[in-house]
Amino acid sequence: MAYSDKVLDHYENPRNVGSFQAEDSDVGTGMVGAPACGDVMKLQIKVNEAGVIEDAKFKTYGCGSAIASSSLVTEMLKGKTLDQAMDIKNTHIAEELALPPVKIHCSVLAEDAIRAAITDYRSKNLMEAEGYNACKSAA
Amino acid sequence: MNTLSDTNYFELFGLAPRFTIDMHSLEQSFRQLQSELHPDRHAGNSEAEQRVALQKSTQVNDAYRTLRNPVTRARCLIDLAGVLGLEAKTLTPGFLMAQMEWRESIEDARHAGDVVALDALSKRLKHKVSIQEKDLASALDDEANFQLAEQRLNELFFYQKLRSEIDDALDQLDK
Repeated sequence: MAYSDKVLDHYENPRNVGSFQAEDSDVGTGMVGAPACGDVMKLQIKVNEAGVIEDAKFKTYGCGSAIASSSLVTEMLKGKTLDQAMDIKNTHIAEELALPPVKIHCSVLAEDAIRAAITDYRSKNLMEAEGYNACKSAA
Repeated sequence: MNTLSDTNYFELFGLAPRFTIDMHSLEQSFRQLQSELHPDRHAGNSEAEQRVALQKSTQVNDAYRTLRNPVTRARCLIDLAGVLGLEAKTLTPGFLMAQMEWRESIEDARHAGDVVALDALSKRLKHKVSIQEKDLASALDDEANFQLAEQRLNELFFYQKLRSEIDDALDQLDK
């Protein structure tokens, strides 16, 4: 399958690969997986006191599109507030990387990872936010 | 002759719809059915009857393939249960973290060309899969908990991926 130049670029030079200490209170960790392809993705955000994402790191085991999606997402997240980050949709990722239809699920996985990381950060810091229910996410 | 959509794969082979099945009975019923459906036996029949026998033979093949494989057999049982709105609970962070570690270990061993480590991982995985299949069997056969079964099945897909990653690495090092 032909990957777009952007996918290849992120695949060959992935940005922000690595980890933060998941226990740190300013770190949110999102772990997601896709049973259909067996891909696993870990996305971490580091949030400053102003509620802005200062840094992001990822580690993904999966196809080129999954790696490119998570790499791109770490770049998109930096400088965004948590609410702005919540607005990132898989369609933005898929468009930016020109993903073919069969690879859309990789961008969905990346979107899920963003949400999981933010939810983790918020539940750790018990932040109130619209549509966020601490009891529900703790279950 | 009935169309197969009216019946289910288990009934077709005279098996109870359970995850734990007798492979030997399945094999025997399969051979029996295929011999009954063989074109030679229907040579004297009308064209329509011959076509039905041929279609049925194809469906028997599909059914056999589906039931022989634990993953597709489980899928079939969950679908048969027809529970609406069934959605597997999301994979637990613990499970996903363990998956990360498996992938890391496999990648490390692949880079190091460490066949011994890969063999050890392969053995460990085999053990994991057999436990997973037992859990799946008890969720389906003993508890009829289809939501839990769905989750166990989803996890099993990840183990399949690990299997192919380990086999790929071993193949690569073999060359």
